[in-house]
Amino acid sequence: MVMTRVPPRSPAVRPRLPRLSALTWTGVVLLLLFLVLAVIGPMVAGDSTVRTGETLAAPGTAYLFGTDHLQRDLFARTAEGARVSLLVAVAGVGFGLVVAVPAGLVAGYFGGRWPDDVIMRVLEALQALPLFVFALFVIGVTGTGDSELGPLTLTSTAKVVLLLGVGFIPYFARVTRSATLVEVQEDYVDALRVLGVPRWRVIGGEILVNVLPPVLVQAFLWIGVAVFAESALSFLGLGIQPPQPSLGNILGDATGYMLLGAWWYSIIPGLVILVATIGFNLVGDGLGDALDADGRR
Amino acid sequence: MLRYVGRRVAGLALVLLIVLTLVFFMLRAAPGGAVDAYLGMNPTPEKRAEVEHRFGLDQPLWVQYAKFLGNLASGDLGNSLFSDRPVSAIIGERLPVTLELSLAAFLFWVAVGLVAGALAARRRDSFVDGCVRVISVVALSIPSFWLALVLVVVFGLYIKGVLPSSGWTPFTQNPWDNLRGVVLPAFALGLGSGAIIARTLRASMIETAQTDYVSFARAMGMSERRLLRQITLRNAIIPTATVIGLMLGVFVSGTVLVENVFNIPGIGQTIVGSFRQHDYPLAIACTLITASVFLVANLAVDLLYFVLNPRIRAGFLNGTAR
Repeated sequence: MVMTRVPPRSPAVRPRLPRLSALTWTGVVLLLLFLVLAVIGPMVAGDSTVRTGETLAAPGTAYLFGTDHLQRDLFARTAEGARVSLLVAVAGVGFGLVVAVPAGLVAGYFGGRWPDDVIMRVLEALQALPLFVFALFVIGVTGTGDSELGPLTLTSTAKVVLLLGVGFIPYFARVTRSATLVEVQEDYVDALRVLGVPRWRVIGGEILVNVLPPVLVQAFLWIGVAVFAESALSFLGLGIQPPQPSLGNILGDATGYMLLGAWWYSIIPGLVILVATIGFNLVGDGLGDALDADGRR
Repeated sequence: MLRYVGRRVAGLALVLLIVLTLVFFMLRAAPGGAVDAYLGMNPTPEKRAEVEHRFGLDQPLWVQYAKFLGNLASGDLGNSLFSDRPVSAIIGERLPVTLELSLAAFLFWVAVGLVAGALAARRRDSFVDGCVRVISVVALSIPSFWLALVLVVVFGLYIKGVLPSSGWTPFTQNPWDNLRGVVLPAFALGLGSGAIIARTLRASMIETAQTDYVSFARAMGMSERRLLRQITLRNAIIPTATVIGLMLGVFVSGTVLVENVFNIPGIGQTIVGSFRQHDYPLAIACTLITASVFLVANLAVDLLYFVLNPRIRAGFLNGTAR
């Protein structure tokens, strides 16, 4: 009984280059723009803390995005902020996935039995509170500085990552669970059971691989949400703390100067958030469509 | 049906209790906390003991917890540390502002979203459809607080005097100014939700139009107008209703942001302000009010869903649906 090889999997969901719609292409371009700014931007822009000697200079050849009230180059600040926002968003979604996928797999595998019930009730409780208010409350109470959690010291950035992740868990777990429920019905799962393959290997190996694509598409869409949520928290002064720039706290700083005519200070970082969220939305939608088409074939 | 409602209300009460307990213990565990905020810098030990006694913090934890719940149950939310006024009075002033803003955004954007979605679905792949699709993708990606900032800059700096871009006039003081003041924040608050409504209605109308029963009704000679009104729209509205329900959750966080940008004295601004000032009684009360409004609204949406969809109703009567 060592024959644990799986018969050919039913719908093969392998990434292949799909034909993209015009909207998806637009999304790809926007997303690339954002990634270039977030990854390459900080390298070419130089130090974001240096004072240029010009207060609130308008965008021009010298300063592409203008300067802020502390004479700092806004291009360098925005690029650095984009990098921070992207990292926080990806880390938050990653943390959510690490918790939610195993939970969803277990719930789906035991669909309708007690492990499923327990996991779903916990998720419902988590979902009962709006993520944003929950995060606001936790950070409001624990303060915007570092917090001690047992032996761990959580910086404000780490707190934002954890809170975003916790907020995403119910959504990711639900997607994983429903995909698992379908997958468990497949013949190959029964076959593996008959062959005596241990349960954890069926769940963690075969089912996981087949369940992952729709989950990852969802996760991708949620990176856009995470960029938005992070910037909203930082905008209110409860997220990433200065001097570390993030797209949100640059906008928060800008509110004091927008009526002095410094439109670029609030418009440009906001446009960067917009480019990122539209990009993630369109590409995520496109990926989802491609996956659907794949499933139908 | 009654059993279902009962179960849901019990579930809601349970979730609220869990939230309350969490809030209570988090506050006790938080470094600093209300006493430090109240005492300010370098208090003497005697002064600290006195204040702790006044807040009841020298009693055993379970006594404090029981008192906390008891006070809440009797509607006593304590006094604001900052202004020393009863928290319930402050909330009484602020909550109507937030509700008015949310209601205005809700009514306007549900109407716009439904009309746009229905138009796009009826003339699928036309110019109108293309416009609705592109605009809705952009609209749902715009962060509400940034849109609010842009509106403040545009109406506060370039087109002055058309619409007020900051502050709030109570309705009782000047109804016209009050309504003018709602326009911009409500626009920023609901734009994304309006876009999602339009997209959902469009998608589900197109899906419904391809079902057999619509073809059958058409083959029976039903006019396109009647078909749209009596069958397509009615079936397509069910998924859309869910999305409209989700709007409420978006509004809960949206008002926090939009009120802060437009300087509107609602619950959202109060939450952020009270956390900044470490005014914990006020902050807790605002968070609880927000959470309760959200939970009750969610329950209402689920019940509405139940009324809208006969299949779910039948399922519940048979006991087949869980």
